[in-house]
Amino acid sequence: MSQARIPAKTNAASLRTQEGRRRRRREIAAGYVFIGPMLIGILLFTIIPMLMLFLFSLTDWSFLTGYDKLKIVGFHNFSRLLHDQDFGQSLVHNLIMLLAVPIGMALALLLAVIITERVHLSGFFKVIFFMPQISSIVAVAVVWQVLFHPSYGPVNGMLSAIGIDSPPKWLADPHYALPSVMLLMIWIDLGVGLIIYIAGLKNIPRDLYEAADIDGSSAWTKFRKITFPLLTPTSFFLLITGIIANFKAFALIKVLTDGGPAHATSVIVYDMYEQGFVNLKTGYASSMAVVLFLIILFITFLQWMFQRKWVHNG
Amino acid sequence: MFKLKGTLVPVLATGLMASLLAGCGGNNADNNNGGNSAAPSSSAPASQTASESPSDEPVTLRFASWIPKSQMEPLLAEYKKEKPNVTVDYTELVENNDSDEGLKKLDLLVASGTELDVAMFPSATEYSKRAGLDLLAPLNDLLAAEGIASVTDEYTVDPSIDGQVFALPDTYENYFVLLNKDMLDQAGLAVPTDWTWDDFYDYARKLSSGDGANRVYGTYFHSWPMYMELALLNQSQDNNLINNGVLKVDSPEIRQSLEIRHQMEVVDKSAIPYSDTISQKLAYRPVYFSQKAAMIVTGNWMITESGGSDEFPATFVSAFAPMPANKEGDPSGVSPANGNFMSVVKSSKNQQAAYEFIRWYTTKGEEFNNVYSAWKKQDVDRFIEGIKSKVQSPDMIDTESLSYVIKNSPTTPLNIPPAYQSELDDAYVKEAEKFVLGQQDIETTVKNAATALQKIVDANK
Repeated sequence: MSQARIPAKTNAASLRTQEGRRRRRREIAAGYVFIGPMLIGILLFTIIPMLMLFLFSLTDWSFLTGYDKLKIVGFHNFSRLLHDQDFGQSLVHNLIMLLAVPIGMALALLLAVIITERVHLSGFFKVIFFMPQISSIVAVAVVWQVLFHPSYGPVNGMLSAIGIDSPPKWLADPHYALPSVMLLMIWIDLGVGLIIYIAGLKNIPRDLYEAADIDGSSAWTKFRKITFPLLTPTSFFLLITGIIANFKAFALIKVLTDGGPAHATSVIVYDMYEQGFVNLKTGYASSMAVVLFLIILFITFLQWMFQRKWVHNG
Repeated sequence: MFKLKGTLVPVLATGLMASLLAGCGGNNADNNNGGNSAAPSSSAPASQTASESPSDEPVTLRFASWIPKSQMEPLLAEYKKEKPNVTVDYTELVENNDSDEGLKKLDLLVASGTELDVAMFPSATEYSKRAGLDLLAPLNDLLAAEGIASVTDEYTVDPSIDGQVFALPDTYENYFVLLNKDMLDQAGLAVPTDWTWDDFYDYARKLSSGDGANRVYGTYFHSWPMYMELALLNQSQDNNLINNGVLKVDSPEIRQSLEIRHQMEVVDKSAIPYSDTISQKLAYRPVYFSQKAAMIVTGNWMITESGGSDEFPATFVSAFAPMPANKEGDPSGVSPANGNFMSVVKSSKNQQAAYEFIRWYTTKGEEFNNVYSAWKKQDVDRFIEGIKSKVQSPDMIDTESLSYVIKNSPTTPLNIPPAYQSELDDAYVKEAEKFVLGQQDIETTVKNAATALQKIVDANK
């Protein structure tokens, strides 16, 4: 927008200014034409549905029936959510599952440092770790199911071979199901974190390390004083996207456990699906979506607030 | 997980947009035609004297379900012979015959305002859910106009909800035990005709053998809620978790149902453990046909399949036994009746024609199809004969025990589940799972389940 003032500054005749304005308008119009399709798309498929979502969350309604069956119930859905134990449980599961993000990031960082500095054939390892990300979630989940078979899977076979009497039943055990899902989640997402960290590492100027070498610092000091601080913008990006994605995890849970056993792996998005598309309660499901939206908004806001404290700005 | 970010939003968006469109388009249609369209239409030629049939003008009925088109077409061709003026425009909703997925698509179709005349539902639960949402046309007047005073005169299942009939029962499903007769013979066991769960335990123990990955089990309980309520659903009255608004969780039947699972999976190790079932997402067909389990409690859709299908060829003879009774002296073979239901969609403009179609489909149509239907006038022997003439390996179906089971299965009045039945099932299964997986004892399970279910009942009042 600021360039538009340039013609005025040049002290040209008013005629030229008018023409300039016209040109400017034409440019703006052209700009809108270019972003138009995207704008319409976002309006139709994101903004309007979002507004409708907020409306529906205040109603008792099923998306099958027409609008004449829509009943406005105010905040009743939300007060019901407060007392819904299953929903509370799902929320707790969501919060526990968030642990997968920092753990996954730490692992990715460690591997990224090792792969860039200590390993030949780094391209090969990048591909290996990226594999689960490009495979279908369903295929990955099935492999996992077989590996972690409660009675005679290889993992439990190994555990009992080294003397553990009753190894956990993993996905079939209410106590271990959620950690199992998290494990798989970390494994799938490792590749993305890894690739982004490797890119980040490549951006750190080599001379910093050379200077540190001359000062005689150890590898750990170099990591702590150079690598980690300079990677904080990367970490920040991964943290925000990771937490948002983590909150929305659905496909993996649907394929792997269906929220079971005994709701041990249900999360908000899964509850939302159950209520909205199985029990056909659009209003109630919408109120869940609103809660999820607010939580993610809040967490992202917190992260932006605190980023100044730890994120390094070039 | 990153790729997930995008998927949910469009899904929700589509649903919501679909409903938006539904709101705009669907409403005015049913006001004009909501009533009985049997009244002679004014556009009918004046020369037509027959007053009963509305008219012979061409009518197109739109019908959608999960049933494969290839299976539906011969039937529709047959109907065309019966009623040349009626064309049924059939939409196959899914490619894999999966009724759950098909139902979701049907919901989206209805929500998007697509004009639909006839709908089909795979169970009483799904039917009552949609009737509760006021999507289906009441059929009482149409039945009365045809001279049928009560649906039960024509069908073995009474589908009415508070006296209103919103659907006609189509296929008829009841439950029995399917047995691998070859394995029974090897173990020297006879096909049971009258038995209790204790006998069932005994059979299962004798039919189990082997260890580790190679173990063959006596039975397999699928992940469906019904397998957590086995001793409840074989009751001739009040066989649901909720009956007329009263919960039946804290009951001897539920305790025995849980006991069955515990006894067989943990004590006898004669049933495939539930942990395997859920973590491996086992399915009952491969388990039974690959002889991993010798007996399964199942329903009569498996009659045809026991004669072999492309995916699961029959390599052994299957026999049939009635549902076991809870104790000595109770009748065995009692089972709740379920099945497909066919309805006229409320917004349909051709209610009379649609009604005539579903009447034909649920009676003569299913006879033509040779499907075990809820029509009282169906001939059982002819039905078995018909099945055997169609399957890949007719010798693999034991006729004698099948005929015994069909003729000796007293059926119970259909218990129309409330619209929130699936919520009840979910909540019950959640607690029952904890028991079956050894996380809590039976009394805690019953207590927690009763509390949880009561909450759902209260919330839905």
